[in-house]
Amino acid sequence: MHLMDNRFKLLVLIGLNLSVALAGPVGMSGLNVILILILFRLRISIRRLLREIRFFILLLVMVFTARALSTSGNPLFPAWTDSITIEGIYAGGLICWRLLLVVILGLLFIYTSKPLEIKAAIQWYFEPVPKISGQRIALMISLMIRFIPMILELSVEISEAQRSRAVECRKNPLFRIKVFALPLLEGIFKKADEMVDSMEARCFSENRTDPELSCHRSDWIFLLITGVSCLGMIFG
Amino acid sequence: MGFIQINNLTHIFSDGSIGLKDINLSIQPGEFIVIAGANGSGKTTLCRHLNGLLRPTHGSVLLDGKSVSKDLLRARQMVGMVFQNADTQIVGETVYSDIAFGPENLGLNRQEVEARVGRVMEIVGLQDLGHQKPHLLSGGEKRRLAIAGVLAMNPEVLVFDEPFSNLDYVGGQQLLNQIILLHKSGHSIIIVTHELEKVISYADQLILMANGCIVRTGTPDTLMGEVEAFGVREPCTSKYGLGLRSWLS
Repeated sequence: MHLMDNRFKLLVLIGLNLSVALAGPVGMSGLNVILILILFRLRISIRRLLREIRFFILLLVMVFTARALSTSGNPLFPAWTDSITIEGIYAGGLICWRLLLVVILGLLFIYTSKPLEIKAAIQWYFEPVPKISGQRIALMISLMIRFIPMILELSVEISEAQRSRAVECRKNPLFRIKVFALPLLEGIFKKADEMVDSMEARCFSENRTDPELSCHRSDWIFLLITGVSCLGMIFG
Repeated sequence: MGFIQINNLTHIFSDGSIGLKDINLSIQPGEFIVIAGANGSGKTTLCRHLNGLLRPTHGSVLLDGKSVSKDLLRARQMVGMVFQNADTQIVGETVYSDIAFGPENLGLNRQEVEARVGRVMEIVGLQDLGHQKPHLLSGGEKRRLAIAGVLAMNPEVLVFDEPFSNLDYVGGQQLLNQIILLHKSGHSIIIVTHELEKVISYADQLILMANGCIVRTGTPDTLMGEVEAFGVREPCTSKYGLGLRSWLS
């Protein structure tokens, strides 16, 4: 999977996500089994995976609870007035399962692709689209990947500086947001300005050397198998 | 006429404050220049005119006889600028992609880009870190990456803006060694700094700036007695009569 052309991987990802949205429990079970096998084959630790999506799992719990409580049908506990329904549990379970599969597919894509190759594939797809510069989108993705750690570092620095001046004693959350956000934004804009200068100094232009992409027969075979599997998931 | 020729350069910022006033300067190929001065003296503003990041309000900057403003691409290829903050100079998501950024902007073919990146990674000693994420590099490595990104454009002049800031002793030594090697390989070097002791023994010319003007120009040993009058600390060795010694020895 690491060696596959990212253009194909992106197509496969989109196809599988659409199929997950349309498939029933049988189709999703099939995908589930395949995903578990792939996770084992790639030696991705389930514990690590769960740790990475721990906040997402929290969101899923909330979605499930909301669905279980808000869907009308046969109550699970008839004695209660606002009870959880059996239909609600089914609907909530199904939607959470779908979302979980989508996230795991996305993570698998990220684990098996280099950022440079993802950028190149996205650029390639946007190339024929009129009025949208694939180069510019690719650069934005590249800068985003590059600058997220820098922004996080900056926010940690600001937060520590404020804690060292006892910001916790101020109970008003609006005040705390204001004193945190203003220097953070100022810092981000300043760094963005500096970045523009350094990009200009290195002759930034939109007519840049294109990334190299190459596909093989195995990519086409993989795409075909996935296409058939998607149809199987939807109509099976 | 020098390789870099600055004639009556004046820069006035949009808020009306004067950045540079009537600067005249001539730099020969292969020279090692140190520009020193207190904060706000106009050192960085002057450097930004060398590759057209700023345009003159009055006067001109010529590179090998051609105006910088008339051919910015040429100027930016010829004059590579290493900024004070390496973090914001690095735009690639990996070491390799950052070094390739400049050559890709020039539209070079993929083989040439790869050849340049490979050569430059060897020069700065980052050949084993091609796939490393830049934010995981040490301060010294980041600075070397910033230099590599500039070297990949094949510049003739290298401008370093406060290159030693935020570097520890070892990182500073590595960087200075790198700069000396680049000078020996034929690059003209311009260093903007107020830490004279690290570089002054290698300089051919020292330029002192104050309030947007060049106040003194000359060989380092002739100007050492005056630097403190312009807010720059005189190196210890010079102060105690030992002359200008290399920071590396």
